[in-house]
Amino acid sequence: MPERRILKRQWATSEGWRDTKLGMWAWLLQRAAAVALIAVIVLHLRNPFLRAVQAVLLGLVLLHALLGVRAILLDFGLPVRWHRPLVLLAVAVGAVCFAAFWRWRWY
Amino acid sequence: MVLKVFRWAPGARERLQRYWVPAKDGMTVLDALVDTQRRLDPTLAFRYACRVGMCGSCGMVINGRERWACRTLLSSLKRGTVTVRPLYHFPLIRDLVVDMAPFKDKMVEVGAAFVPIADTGAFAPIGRDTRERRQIDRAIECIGCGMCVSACTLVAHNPRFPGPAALNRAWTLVVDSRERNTMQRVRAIAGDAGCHACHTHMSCTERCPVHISPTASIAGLKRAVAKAALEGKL
Amino acid sequence: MLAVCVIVHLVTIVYAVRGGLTAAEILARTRGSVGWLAFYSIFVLAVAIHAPIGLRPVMTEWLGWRGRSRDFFLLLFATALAWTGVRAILVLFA
Repeated sequence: MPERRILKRQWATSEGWRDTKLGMWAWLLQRAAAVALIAVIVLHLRNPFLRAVQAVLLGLVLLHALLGVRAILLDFGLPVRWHRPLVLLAVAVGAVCFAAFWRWRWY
Repeated sequence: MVLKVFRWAPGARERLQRYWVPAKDGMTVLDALVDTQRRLDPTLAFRYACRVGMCGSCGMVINGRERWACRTLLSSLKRGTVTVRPLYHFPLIRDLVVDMAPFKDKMVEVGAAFVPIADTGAFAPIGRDTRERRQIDRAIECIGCGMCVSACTLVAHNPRFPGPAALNRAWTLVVDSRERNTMQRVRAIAGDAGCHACHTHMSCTERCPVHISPTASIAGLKRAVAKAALEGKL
Repeated sequence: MLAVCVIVHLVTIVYAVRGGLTAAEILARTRGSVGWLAFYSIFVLAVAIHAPIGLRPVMTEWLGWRGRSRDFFLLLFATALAWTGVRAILVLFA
């Protein structure tokens, strides 16, 4: 049986990360936000009144939700060439919403 | 300029071998490899055919990105050292040559051969101005170079994932109104071992030299699966 | 569904805070309220469903965990998440 050797991208090296494009970063960000969100939600449920937890929760929720909207739009047939502007739009809208909301709540 | 080439043969250790190549104007990575093989090291193995950017045989990972060696000018690469590796996710044969059989196998798995419905005539064209024609045209030019499969990280994680090329091909057939086995194909590519393993990071689309977006095709497949599920046909 | 819940929750909180309600006053208003109980129950349910489904490909791809044991773990995780949520709700409504 001949040995089957299959190479994969080496994520532990800098060469493996070369040419990682925005679409991939968007997905990684989405996933990182998702995992972090689980931890932060649990913290929030334990004590809903901690301001730092609320802030992080809001930021992550906005990021995850808006990038998720982008993914759903692409799945529904939005032209694929818009995927990059959509990432920037998602992040920008998230930042604006966060700032607006945080100021508006006046704690 | 220094060429760092991945070397491996069955039973040997893998290594990156350095060659010094005098860079000339208009030289491509393929030129550099051929020069190396002729002047310095006849044991270097790599694949190419047309050398003019049409056949897709010379797909390799050059400086961390999948490219066709014959279409990659040395002057377009930023560093002084050029690192050349074989395509990812295919079994190695030797040095830069990979076994493309799994590429074909994945195509067979998704059912890439067209099966016409019984009563199509001898010539059954799809109208030039139809939406169907445009959808198929966007995805039909694939020449099987395999770079998208190398770029797709999900192929690495999930051995049952058909990959961008096979799914792209499946899409052209699912959309084809003359195709007989549409529902069968949709069922074949539904789920985790099919189109739903795609997470839309577009690495395939970024690499494709003939401007196909497998991501768009896969999105189409996801819609087709959803539609079939809602209609109870899945 | 989850998006709707989040938005409603945020709007409510801001409304309460701008109205100058303290934590104790908020609790006084939510205690015994069936409407809020229903809303937050849906919220907790939506989270407890969405999070494990999302976690599934992460486990398959990055942890190499497949098959029934993975799904069983996710079920436990969903239950744990729901339980944490229910406890929080009980504080508000009991």
